[in-house]
Order: sequence, then structure tokens, then C-alpha cells
Amino acid sequence: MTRSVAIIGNPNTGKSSLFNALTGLRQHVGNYPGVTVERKHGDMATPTGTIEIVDLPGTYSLAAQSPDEEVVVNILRGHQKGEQPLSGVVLIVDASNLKRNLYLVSQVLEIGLPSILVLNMVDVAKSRGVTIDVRALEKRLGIPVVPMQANRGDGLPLLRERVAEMAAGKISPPVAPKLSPTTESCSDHPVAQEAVARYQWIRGILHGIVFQVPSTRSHFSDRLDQILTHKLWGTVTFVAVMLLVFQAIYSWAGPLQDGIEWMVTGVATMVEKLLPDGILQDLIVDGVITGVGSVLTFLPQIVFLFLFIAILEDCGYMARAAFLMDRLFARIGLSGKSFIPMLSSFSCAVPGVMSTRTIENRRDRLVTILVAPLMSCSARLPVYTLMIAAFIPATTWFGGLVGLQGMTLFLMHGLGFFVAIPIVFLLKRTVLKGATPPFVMELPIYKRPSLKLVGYRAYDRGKAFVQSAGTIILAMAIVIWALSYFPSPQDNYFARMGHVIEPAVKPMGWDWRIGMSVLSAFPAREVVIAALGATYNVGSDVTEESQSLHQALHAATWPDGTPVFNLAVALSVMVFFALCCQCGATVATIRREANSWGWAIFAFAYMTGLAYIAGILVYQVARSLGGSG
Amino acid sequence: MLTLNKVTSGIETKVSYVMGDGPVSLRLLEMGLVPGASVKVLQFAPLGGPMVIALEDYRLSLRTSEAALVALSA
Repeated sequence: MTRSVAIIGNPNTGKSSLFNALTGLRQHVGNYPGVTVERKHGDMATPTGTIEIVDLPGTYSLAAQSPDEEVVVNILRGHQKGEQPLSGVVLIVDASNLKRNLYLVSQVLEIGLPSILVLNMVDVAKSRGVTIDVRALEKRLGIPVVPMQANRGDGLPLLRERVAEMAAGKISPPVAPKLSPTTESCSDHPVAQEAVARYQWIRGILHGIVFQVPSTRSHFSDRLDQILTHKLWGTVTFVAVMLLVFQAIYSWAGPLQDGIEWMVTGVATMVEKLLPDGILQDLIVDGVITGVGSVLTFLPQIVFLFLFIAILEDCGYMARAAFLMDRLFARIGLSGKSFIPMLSSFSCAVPGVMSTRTIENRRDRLVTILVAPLMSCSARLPVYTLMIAAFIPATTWFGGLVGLQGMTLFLMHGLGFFVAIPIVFLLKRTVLKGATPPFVMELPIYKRPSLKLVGYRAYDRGKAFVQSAGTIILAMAIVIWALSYFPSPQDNYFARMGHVIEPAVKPMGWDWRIGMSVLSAFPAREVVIAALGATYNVGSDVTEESQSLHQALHAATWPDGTPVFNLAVALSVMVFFALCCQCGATVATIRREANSWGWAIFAFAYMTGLAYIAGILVYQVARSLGGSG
Repeated sequence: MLTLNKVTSGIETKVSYVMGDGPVSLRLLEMGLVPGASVKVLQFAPLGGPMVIALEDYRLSLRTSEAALVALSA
């Protein structure tokens, strides 16, 4: 039987860094309180065999107010299904904020598992003038204490030794803290008395062993917060940061995309020469390379988006953004905590939906899950980019600093967010009725983002994207190719099916080809580019930037000779994509997180219905305003 | 009675007690707003949003409605 040891601690104590240092596995580390919502395992090799390390979600207390806390309590008590009892726990605390961190320690010690205390961030504490008598602390708590600097690995060898000793049963269980009945005049409520008694115990433990040099100079983090959490300057900075992120994604990823496109075209041409003309060449070039290649060109944008989100999270800015946004969310019945899942959903709804686990209240969590997929994820970018490049004039103002195309992209990203507001409002007043949740959140000190962790996170998402391109998108590309190839390219199944559905999509201004391309993109949005390429018979070098696809879209006509695409149609396609739930992975994640097929189907149905109505509305309004020229 | 939501920023005071016994009150206590803890209001979010306080060694944000549960000693 493997022995397992859990790491437990408050959010923002460097728990994830410690886990990485012990196991060598890298994982996501962020600064937003409670970002480690998944349960993570890793193996630590020791001379006497491997020890399984379990990374528990960051928590402030074992009162079990959120799903995260419940899981932690169950694992510690050995009640979690499928979990073996622990051999011991590693308690990690922030040395610069010992008082609050010891609250959780006092609760964990009561459970009676062998424990080790890791005194992390000793350098931050030192820079703040805090000195801790480690030996005395060890004696008073009755457990080994290891001072550390987990992100640099200082103190790691000693900790490894201690963990191995603990797993071998050489560390005896601690004595439960003696909480004396509170004498202070406070509330009579038992829970309040317990909390107060714990803090009294902490005061006793720390008395005379923590020395603080008084300093009148404010810390860097506080000085930064004077601007970043300021009413006016904080809000201005927030808007500027968001604008910068989208502008950067749009413009910086361009050259890299061109490079990938160039490579895809190169491969297609090479294969075309190598293979004899015929069905096999058509399948490989038009089906596989075109289909998958067109999607791969979005890799740079996706990696950039994740890079930005990871940096904002890791440096501690996300908590400030949640602070600034709380008022808006409170007004519709949620809290600033819903902001992080929603912002993450701008890259991908799957991690966004998963990050709702930090929301304590089940109803509020469900509401956030249901609207998170409305945020414009990176998979919608291809459609926006294609439609904008082909149909939105490249007007710029202020010497090229602000452009109509970039602005349209920004507005498309804002659309989902603004549509989410009335939806949350409705849900909170009907099926998921409930009071506005509390918003008591720690603002961690700012730190330099770890390049390794940020880079790994972007790499991880990039890899996942390439994998999806290699599986579901590849499969769809082949299916679309086959449907439009048989029985004959002139009269194929794709077209036949398209003519059947055309009446349904005509109110949005779409012809059967757009309709079928959009329909085939329901498992994954990215498929639509390949599908449009296939239906408009553009050939092998289709990408959203490619001139041939632009020309084909401009040249496409209805049977009566009028052009299919115009501004109104482009807008209706974009709005449809902004609101529709075309993502199998998201539906599956919602099912898992909400633990119900009902909510997953509900999310799919309401979003798709909304997209359809909005598509019709936008097309009809734009056409009457003259957008069909 | 002076409560945390009524303090102007920059003034350092001490917590007297937390009212109520609901989950919010418990969370406030757990986060360290216990009798005797020193607090200082630092910032307010725009449009009546939450506030940032310095609570002993760290920074905490909470809504003014939540801060109204925290009674301060004069």
C-alpha cells in the first residue's frame, strides 16, 4: 500500500509551489484565493519508496462552508470515498501572516494526524521586519517546523527528510490544542466563541516568539494598491489592462499566425505533389490538412490569451479585479468571486466552469456556471477574425492606435458579458432564487509572476488545443469532407442536407452553406472555418486570413445572383457564434460540475435559442439600416 | 455604536466584536476579525462597492454591508 501525505494550507501560501517542489510535477499556481480547486496527486521519491503527495484545495477553515472545504475535511478525517487514510499532513503557513494562518492549523491539529509545519515565505516575512523563533514555535506546537522558501526550493531537503520520517510513522500525532473558554465580552454564539478561543490560543502560541520591527514605511504591495484598488485610478487601470490584453492578442499573434499558415500551405502543396490525383489526395489535402491546419493557426492567439490570464492570476491582480467588479456583480445577485470564472471563460469555458468551485453557495455557483460559456472564448476568435477581416472596413483613428476592426473584436467580446447580466438577473429571481452571496476575500501581496509556472500553463493549454485539433476537429473535418464529396462533388449529401435546413437559417440571412457549416461546428466551434472552406470549394489553403476564403465569401451568391455575404450577414454570423453553445467539451464539463444532465441541457438550449433569436434580430435590424449593401 | 463600515479611511481602530451567528459572521471571525484585532480602512471600490482593510498582517476586502457587522471599540 502506498503511503500518502496531504498538503494543506490557506490560499496564497505557496501551496502549489511546495507541491511542485516535492513531486517535480508542475501544475497551475495562481494568486486568486482558492485557485487550486482540483485535487492533485504526485509522487515523491524517497530512499524507502515513493510517497503519494495530495495537494488539497486552499482553505481558511475546516468549517466546511464551500465544496472545497468539505472535500478537505472529508479527506483529513478519512471519510472521502475512494481515498485511503492519510499517513500525515504537511501544514503550510505564510510566515508573514502567521496569526491568521494558524487558525486552520489549530483545527487540523485537532484531527490528530501526524503533522509537519512548513513556515513558508520566510524572506517576505524578513523583509517586513518579522523574526520568528522557530525552535520555540516547534516546542509550543509539538510538531516539527521547517522554514522554507518554496518557490526557490530553500529548505526542501530538510522537508523531504521530515516527510519521509512522517510516512514511516516516526512522527507521533500532535496533542490537540487546548482551547480555553473565552472570557472576553463578545457574542454568546457558540461558533463565535470557538473562533475567538482559537485566536486566543494562537496569541498564546505566538506570544514572545514573533518579533516585529515597527516600520513606518509602507510596503511596495500597499503602495501599488493605492493606485490599483483606487476608486478612479483602479478602474481606469482595469479597463486599460483588459483593452491591452485584447489588442495584444489581435495584433501580436498575427505574425505567428502567418507563419503557421505558411507552413500548413507548404505541407499541403508538398503532399499534393507527392500523392497521385484522386480520392486519397483529396481526402488528405482538402479534408485533413485543410481542416486541421485552419484550426492550428489559432494556436498563437490561444497561447497568448492564456499567458495573459496566467500572469494576471499569478501576480495577484485577479483578486483586485474581483474587488473592483464586485459592485456590478452584487447588483445582479452574485459576488466579485464570479468574475474570475467569467474572465477565465474568455480563454475557454472549460477551466472557467471548473474555477467556480471557489464559490461557496451552490445556487450562485450554478448561475455562474450557466453564464460562463456566454463569455467569448478563444474558439470564437476564428469566426470573428474571418468576418471582421472580410467585411469590416479597416478604418483607424488616432494615428492607427484605435481601429474599427479591433473595436469590433472588443465589442464582440463584450457582447456575451452584457447578455449574461440580464440572464443572471432572471436566474437569480426565478429557478435559482437566493440572497446575494458574501464577499470576504483576501488580497494577497503582489509578487513577480513565476515565468516557469506561467509558461507551463500556456504550454498546457496550447497542448490541449492541439490535441483537440488532432481528434474532434480532425474527425469533423473528415466527416464534412466526405459528406461534401459523395455521391458526387456537384450533388453531395452536405448540400442536400443544407437545402433541407435552409428555411430555418434564412431569417438570419444565411444560405444553406453557412447553415451547414455552423451546424457542423456544434461539437467544436473551430470546425466552422474548415467547413466554410469545404462548402465554398476554396481548396487546400483555407485559413481565416487567407485571401481565397475572403474572395470566395465575397463572391458567393444566392441562386438569383445577389451576394450571400454582406455586413448584415457577417454581423448575424458573429452574434450567433458569440451566444451559441457550440462546444461539446463545455456541455460535458457543465454536466460534471453541476452533477446533472438537466443543467447541461438547459445551458445548451437557452444559449442556442438565444443565439438564434439574436441572429435573426441583428440581421433584420442591420438590413433595414442598410447593412446589406 | 461604531461599526467598521462607518470608519473613514486611514484611521486605525480595534475590533470589539462581530454581530450575528450566520455564515458571514463566522467567516469574518475566521478571517481574524476577533476582539482586539487591529483594523485600518484603506480603500473603497467605486459606486459603493466593497472596501479594503488592513487586518493585522494582511489585506482583506469585504462589502460595507458585511463591515456593518463588525463593532469597533471606541
